[in-house]
Amino acid sequence: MEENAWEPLKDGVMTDHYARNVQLIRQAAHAEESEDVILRPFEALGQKAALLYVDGLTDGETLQRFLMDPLLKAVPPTDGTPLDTYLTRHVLPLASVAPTAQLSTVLNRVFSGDAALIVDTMPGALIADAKGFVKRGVSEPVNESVVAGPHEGFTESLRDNTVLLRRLLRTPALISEQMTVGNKVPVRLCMLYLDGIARRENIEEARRRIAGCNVDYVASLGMLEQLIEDSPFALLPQAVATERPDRAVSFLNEGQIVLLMENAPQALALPAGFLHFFHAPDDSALRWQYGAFLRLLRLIGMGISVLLPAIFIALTVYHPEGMSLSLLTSVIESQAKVPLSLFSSLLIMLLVFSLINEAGIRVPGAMGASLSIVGGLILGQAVVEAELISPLVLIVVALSGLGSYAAPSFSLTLSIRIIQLALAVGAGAGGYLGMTLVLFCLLLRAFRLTSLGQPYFAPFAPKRPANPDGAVRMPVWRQRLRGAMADPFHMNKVSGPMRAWDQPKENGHGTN
Amino acid sequence: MGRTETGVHSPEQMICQRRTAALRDKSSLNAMSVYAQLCIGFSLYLYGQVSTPGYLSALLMMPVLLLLFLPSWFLARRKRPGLSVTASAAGERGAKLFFLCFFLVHLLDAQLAFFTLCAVVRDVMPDFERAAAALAAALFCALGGGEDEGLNRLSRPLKRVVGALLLYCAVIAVPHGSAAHFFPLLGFGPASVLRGTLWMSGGLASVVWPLLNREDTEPPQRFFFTLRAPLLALGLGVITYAASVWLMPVYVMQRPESLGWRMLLLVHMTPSVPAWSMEVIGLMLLLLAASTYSTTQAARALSQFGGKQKTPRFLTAVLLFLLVPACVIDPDNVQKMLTAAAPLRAAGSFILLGLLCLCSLIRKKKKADRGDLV
Repeated sequence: MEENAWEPLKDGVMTDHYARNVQLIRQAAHAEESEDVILRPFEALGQKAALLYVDGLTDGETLQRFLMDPLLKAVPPTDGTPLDTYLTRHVLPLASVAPTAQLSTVLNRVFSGDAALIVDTMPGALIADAKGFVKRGVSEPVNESVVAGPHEGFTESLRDNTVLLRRLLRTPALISEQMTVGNKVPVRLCMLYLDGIARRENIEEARRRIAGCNVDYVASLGMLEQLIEDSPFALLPQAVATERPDRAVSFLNEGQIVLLMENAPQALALPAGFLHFFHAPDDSALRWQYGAFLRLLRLIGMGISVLLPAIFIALTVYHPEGMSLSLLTSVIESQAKVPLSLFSSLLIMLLVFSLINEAGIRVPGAMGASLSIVGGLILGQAVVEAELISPLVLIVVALSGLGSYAAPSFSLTLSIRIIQLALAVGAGAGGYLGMTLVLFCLLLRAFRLTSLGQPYFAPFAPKRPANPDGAVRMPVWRQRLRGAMADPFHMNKVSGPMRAWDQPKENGHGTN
Repeated sequence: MGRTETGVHSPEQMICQRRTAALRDKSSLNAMSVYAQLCIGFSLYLYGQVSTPGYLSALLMMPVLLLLFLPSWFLARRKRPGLSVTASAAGERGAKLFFLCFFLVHLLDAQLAFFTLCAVVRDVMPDFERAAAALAAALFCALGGGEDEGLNRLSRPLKRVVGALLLYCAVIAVPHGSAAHFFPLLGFGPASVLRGTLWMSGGLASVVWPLLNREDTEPPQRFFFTLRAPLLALGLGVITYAASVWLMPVYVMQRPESLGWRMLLLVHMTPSVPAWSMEVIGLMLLLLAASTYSTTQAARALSQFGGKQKTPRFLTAVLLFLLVPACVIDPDNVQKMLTAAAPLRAAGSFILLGLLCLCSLIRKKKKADRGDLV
């Protein structure tokens, strides 16, 4: 039954028979049942005509001034010009008007905010761009704020997002391919890349994967990511999501592909490497020394976050000989009155930390601060005073939590937390052996990963000539090559030195 | 848009560059395994039996390495085009013999690495169930193992991490040592030094494998490029041993300590909180990588012996679980057996290489004779 309702979307074709076309459209668009789907009949050019649009998605003024008024005033063609050509060239003062006979196209466009015009004896329908729905304006990205750099973020409007990118990359080499995903409710998608810089094989592969998504509806970019990623069972994310146009542009410049989707205020860059998740948007805006320092700090933060709870458990439970006497005494003293074992209390506190974090994200903004005070200060202090948890455990959990926040990617933060728990469980079960076994296994899995077919840890493993801006932020003038995911035949950003003014002159005197 | 200055101007060059990078990773993993075998060799033979002049034995392994490497290089250069094994002139039977020999070499390598891992675990966690530790190690190695690029790629950062951890321990330990520990050198005599070299040379046997068991797709390599990885492994092994000698007086080295204790010798001599943890983790990672690599290669050799080019993943897992009993049932006797069998790896490799070279030369002569007749 449900399948039949969508059937016209697949293969309905419109003819030049007005009554049939109107009937077809009325049924397919559910114009009688849906009060906001308007099918307005009128007479134009001496013929019966109808305009189909969705109230609220279209701009009323555009409909009135550029469609209805000219149509009602127009006279029929006298030189035998076909009706669609006549309307397009002489009657409708709109930039975007296109004929189509496919019912699925008509419905897709109308439900995206365009208007469809049906005229008796005219084959098919004319689609006029009349979008005028409510949308959010460009604002500062909430999850990727920066100290230095632009303050614009993507919005839910696909066209606005492509405009934001075009404004930053004013070159015809920026290709924007439009496609749709979803069988029953097609969602518009834009695949952007820089021609000659993005790898041809990556573009083909992305096209193939998107075309191969067999789903009825894609609700978000995250859902699309899951449908096209290489290893759906891997813990680590394989595509970078960003809310910032400047960051998306930097991905494009490094030879990656950027996907934009209707109703998604983010862009998805792929293929992605592990170190892309450590690059913050303002890294390149800061001087390289500061950028390098911050990036190293993030990597150390990740190391602490992943390893510290496991090392603490392994040392205190299995390897007390690995601790100094003072540390051992302090651990024993702090643990003496606590009823829970160190392993259980650490595991509980790690879960509580994740819980506070999750609750902090979900509660309304004004309550978020109160929640963090309740969670962080009151709860922490209370459990220590009640001697339920050792203060050392609290310190370890707080430090590891702090480390996980240093990662600029939310997906990476979540994967760090899961890895942290896995390692802690390994250490609880078998000390350093358990921890090392879990770590070894996870590392092997991670080094096998690919993103859009490209090795996840390239250009370091396997080694490839590429931009040295990886774990440490390198000076801009040393970044003469593009990223490892770029077309290997066009790796050079420039020929010659980047600080050309600083080169010794022919007479042997440099500007320095 | 400028063309690349990275030496890549055509798809063929790009493929060649990628294969070279893959080959480099593979050889780096092999070098890691050789380094692990050398460390095990030091712990098995030198600390207890040859003691202080052991670093001379380690230095003497340089010619042994060359003796293994040069004929392999000669054979690799003369490889028949389109043949993915070393058979060269020796034909199919020679290839089978080669695969069987290297199956045994790698299996022994894997058993030694796995056994040593369990010995280290016994030393740091004496109360931990021995069988559980061995089974868990086999299970996780099997989960991660398999003939693919994961382990090869991991070897690149892993060697740096393990190297840094061990270097940190060595640096921490330096103030506690004394140059006087290097002497007396000659009190043990040259026979002792040579014996040490002979015992330990088994750890070098696997350097031959990646050189001779090349795939058709792999590009030809330069001599020093190929030699670099095993040479570095050997150099690092010598430094590790010298650091141990620097730290320990001769009488400490000769005490009958367990294999695990000897493996963790650096940290035992310089107790430090971070160094202890770092060396234990570093050593475990090294031994895990070495056992997974050797088992994977043993499975590969066995598959090729059976005439198959693809190695089924379960074969690696089965071989890994076969390593478990030796670590659980009567480890003292197993250690004695392994100590006796380990040097045979080099002897077997020498004989095999000699035979292959001989066959190759005979074939060359026959070809030349036929050419003369024509």
